[in-house]
Amino acid sequence: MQKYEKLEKIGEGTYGTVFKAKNRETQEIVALKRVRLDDDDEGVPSSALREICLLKELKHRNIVRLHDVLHSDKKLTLVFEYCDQDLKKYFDSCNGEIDQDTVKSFMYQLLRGLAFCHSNNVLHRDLKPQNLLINKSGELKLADFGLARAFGIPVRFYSAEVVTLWYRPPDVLFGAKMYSTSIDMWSAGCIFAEMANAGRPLFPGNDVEDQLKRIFKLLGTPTEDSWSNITHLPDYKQYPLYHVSTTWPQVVPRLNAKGRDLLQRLLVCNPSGRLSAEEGLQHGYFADLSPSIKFPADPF
Amino acid sequence: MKLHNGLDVQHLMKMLSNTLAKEQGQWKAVHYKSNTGSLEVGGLHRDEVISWLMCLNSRFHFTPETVALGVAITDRFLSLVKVRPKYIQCVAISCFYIAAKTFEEDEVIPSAVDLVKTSQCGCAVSDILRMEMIILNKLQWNVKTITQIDFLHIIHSLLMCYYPQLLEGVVNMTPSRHMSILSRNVFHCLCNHKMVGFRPITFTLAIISLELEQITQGWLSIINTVQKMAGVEVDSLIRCREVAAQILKDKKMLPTGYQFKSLHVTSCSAIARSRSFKRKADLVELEDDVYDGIKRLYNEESSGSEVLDGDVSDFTKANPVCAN
Repeated sequence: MQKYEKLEKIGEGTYGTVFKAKNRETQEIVALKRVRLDDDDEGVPSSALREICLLKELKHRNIVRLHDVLHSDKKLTLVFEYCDQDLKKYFDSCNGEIDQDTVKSFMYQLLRGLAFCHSNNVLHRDLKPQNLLINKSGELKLADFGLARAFGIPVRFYSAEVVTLWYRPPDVLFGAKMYSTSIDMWSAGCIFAEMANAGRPLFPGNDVEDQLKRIFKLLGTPTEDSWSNITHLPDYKQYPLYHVSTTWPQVVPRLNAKGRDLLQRLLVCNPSGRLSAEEGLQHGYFADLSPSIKFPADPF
Repeated sequence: MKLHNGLDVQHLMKMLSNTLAKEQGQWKAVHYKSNTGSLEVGGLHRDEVISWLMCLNSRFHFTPETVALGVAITDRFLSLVKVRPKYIQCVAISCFYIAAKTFEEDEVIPSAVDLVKTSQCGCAVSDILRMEMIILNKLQWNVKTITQIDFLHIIHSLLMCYYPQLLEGVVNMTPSRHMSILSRNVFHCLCNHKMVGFRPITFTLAIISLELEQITQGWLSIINTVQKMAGVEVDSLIRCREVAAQILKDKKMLPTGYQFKSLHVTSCSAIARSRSFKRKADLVELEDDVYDGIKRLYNEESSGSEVLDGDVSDFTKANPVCAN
């Protein structure tokens, strides 16, 4: 690893250690994700391979940029653009206070990155604050595409073992394998509420059952009327019809009415009713967003 | 018309232009020499190993996209590196493994040990892993390649949107079954190195045109429309059609053996009819390995589709490439 000087360890990704490093020639600061390749192993991990080939095609200012892939004897190093922190760490530094304009800006950038993924036929499948990076200029970037996948025209079954529990939509919690872009929109909704509350997770469930209970207590338990064929989902179980007692202003007290409207359109149990990323960007909540964020000089 | 996955014509057209743009940036014609002896891989070596990949794809229950990508990577690598025939199986199985890791879910991807065992490729696990790295580095990790199957899905969906009555006159034909026939033909032609000298879009259009010609008198204008939309040169389309027709005729897969509902038949379909008895058996067989993902796309199955879980979504289960 002559080209880069390792500075410090930043964290652990799904399949490797991440370091902050400096390009010896250009002095540019980068993030190195190191993947160990063991002899008796399976070669290049599928998650690393997918992340590389998806990111090579997703060049956008709201998606972390993959600069290079280096291969040496027993390890693989992915060279990424460096961001100062992730959204989780940002929350930690907030001390329970967050500027609602920042929430709006982050949410817009999240939806814009997501819209770009979806229009390029990529599902992220692991959106959570830890996987959203924030740089010094307040730009938000989608990262960690280790669980992401390309999707095509045929409607196929995918893995239901995706998305971290707290951000997993109810259809996937019920074992649905026929999902599409709506899977990411639910996670985006959860993250939106978490941002508005300065880092308090919306549905911090302990297990699948607890997760679904928390969701249904807030949104009401879906029935065949609100969601046809729900009972046919592989792991469907009947849940009590909870009496919804919490109002949205109680859930996200600092979010304005338009923001609450957007949130409710994302957090729809029936996946076919969820707003798309592109539709989200058009929502009135963003009407007064600063033009410098909405129309950056260089969209890539 | 909106398809079951929410795609409409506008979205499909955007996909077509995006896919064409990517194809343009990636594609290079691959030419194989017919006779090369034992020092260099030639067309026949290549065709043999590609047919084997087709069989492996059904054995592993992978999707059509996976094997199409595996073939594309194999061809790309062989165009960059001179390979001795004794190594071609190792190259092909490694390309296939890369394709599986790219498109299949982790639950479905075999371990390297299982890959070696099931494929009986005769290579060691370490050979495959070393080859995997060589291939990835040679392709500069640009794995995703536009294939004929990508175009087939887009253009077939467009056809079903623009001409929903297209298959009305054909007995026992649904969009998914039609797609199954088209994919089968694409895979047969992929097993012939003469076809990889053509752009994937040209290849796909040639296959589609050979089928449409048997179904509708308006085939030429439909193909013309798509051909202009996609910027495909007429000359190469005609040449590609000729090559494809010959391959399919040799395999007795052309004419396809469609049966028509009305008495009104075109001259081509009359020929098709005369042989239809022979082909009928194949068409019935296809019913069982219909393209599940496409079936759901065109909403041809009963409600509660999640119940079908466990049905592997590939039509290649009994890939006729193996049978012939």
